[in-house]
Amino acid sequence: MTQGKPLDTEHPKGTLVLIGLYGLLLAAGWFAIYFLVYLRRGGVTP
Amino acid sequence: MTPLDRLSLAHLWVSILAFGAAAAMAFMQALSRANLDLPWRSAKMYYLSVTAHGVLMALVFTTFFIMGFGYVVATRVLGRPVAAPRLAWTAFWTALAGTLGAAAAILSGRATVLYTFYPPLRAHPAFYIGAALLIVGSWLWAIALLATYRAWRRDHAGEPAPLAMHGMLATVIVWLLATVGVAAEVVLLLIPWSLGWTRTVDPILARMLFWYFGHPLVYFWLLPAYVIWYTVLPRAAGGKLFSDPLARLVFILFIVLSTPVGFHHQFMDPGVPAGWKLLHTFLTFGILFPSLVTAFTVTASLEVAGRMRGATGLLDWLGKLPWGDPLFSSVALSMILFAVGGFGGAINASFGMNAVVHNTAWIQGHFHLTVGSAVALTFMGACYWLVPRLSGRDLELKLLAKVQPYFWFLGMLCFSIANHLTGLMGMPRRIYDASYGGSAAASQWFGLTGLSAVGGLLLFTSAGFFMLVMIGTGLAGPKREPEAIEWAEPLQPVDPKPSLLDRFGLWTALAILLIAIAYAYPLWAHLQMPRFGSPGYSPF
Repeated sequence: MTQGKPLDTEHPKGTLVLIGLYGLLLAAGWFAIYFLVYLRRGGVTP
Repeated sequence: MTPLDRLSLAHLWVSILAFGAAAAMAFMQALSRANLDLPWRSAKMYYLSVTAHGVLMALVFTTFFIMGFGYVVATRVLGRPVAAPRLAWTAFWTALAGTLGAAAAILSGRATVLYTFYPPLRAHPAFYIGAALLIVGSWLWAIALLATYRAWRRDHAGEPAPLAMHGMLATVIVWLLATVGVAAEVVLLLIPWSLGWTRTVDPILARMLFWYFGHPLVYFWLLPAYVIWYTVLPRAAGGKLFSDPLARLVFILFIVLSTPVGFHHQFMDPGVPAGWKLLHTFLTFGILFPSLVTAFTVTASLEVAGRMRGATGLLDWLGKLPWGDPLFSSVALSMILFAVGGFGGAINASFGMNAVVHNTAWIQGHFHLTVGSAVALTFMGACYWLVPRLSGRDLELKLLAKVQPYFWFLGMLCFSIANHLTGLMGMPRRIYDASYGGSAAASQWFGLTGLSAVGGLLLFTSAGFFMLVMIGTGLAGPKREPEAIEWAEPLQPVDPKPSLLDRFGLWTALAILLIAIAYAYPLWAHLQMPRFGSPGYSPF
């Protein structure tokens, strides 16, 4: 969406960047807990 | 003020007052958890206040707001009066009577069972009967809303419901499906048990029925917030809704997927076979999808707004948004906090990894980002928008209203991040004494429990600002001409013919089928087992 073009015919590029980044962070966070906490230590109580 | 506006406002005021009382309880708990030696600090007071906070926030503040907001949507979007006004007022008084009964039982110290009221913790019968009346009131509300929609349909045959009403219909359907579980638990198990008609209760059956209700309860809170995100926020931002069909798809997916997911709250419970827990795991991950679609569609709508305000770069549209408007900032900040909460939710929903966080402080860190932020902060922002329009009074103390969402945002970050981290370090939730008898492990948590208390202080300040603005507006706001309640328009015109996404009967039938697949056999198998039950237990 750039100035001068109709808003309803262009992709929301900024949104795609933000949502893509969020998806990557979500996956990275999940794997971080999996490898660094779950596999290393296991549950709260053994 | 019209009688319809009075009906909506009555609900909003009960909601706002419940919020204020619950916020005061929360502040006391945060200080207590930080080991500050407060006057009258005791385990009994702590658990009483945790119960009151949970019930007032999660069940009363939310339910009354949603009921009031539902009437606003039905009357203002459909442009017609509530079809059964006497029924609507009966619903209000029934729910209020139930709330007062349950609150009296809690505040007199005879219902310290926390908001989940798991047996064998036993409360006074007034608590369970009060909860049942609150739910009955909400059912009457649902009937009034559906009757209003049917009356509209008679005059608008062949038209799809406006999006806001589409979302509220999804909310009603999710609620009616979900409350079957809690009604069965309370009426068949807990009320007879608390009255002494039965000697024991089956805690596992009660938990299965509670969580059949407990997780879709989250979507009962969340869907009206999504209605605000889709149909109010884009207009407040000065833009348009990016996609009406995507929004409709989201609400339909919630109808289908909200209920058959409850076992992910019972991963550590015995009595539920692992295969069924795994099925609920997959379905829970399925329900992350409509929230991701929402994140995309609402953010794209804000990008549209920023572009309409002159932005041209990749992300400069963020700076063009009206961050000083309390409606906008409340809702936008609530979405950011919800995004953080989504990360925690993915851990909670993972069958094996749930063990890492089970019953730890992580859990309260998580749900304060969802119901305590995505829902509560959105509802607060909506109050800034609705109360002046319904009451015909200008918003008072506007500066406090402007800064309040930011205090909430910062407070919730401090509170939730601290609780997520201490939860990973093993700190249990729902424990009064944060020193854990002076154990070495507990000493590692002190800095973070202090940060959590700072978060509590910021949240309490924010809640105080909100209450001052609301009470000031209600009592002393300058009177003004009534203002229309306007809704966001989509970027592209809505198809005037109903689509597959408007066939609520079909999707409700699919939801019931999925619920039967997910719950019928585990419930039947449980009822075939030898069950011994438990007598009641009251710790105080």
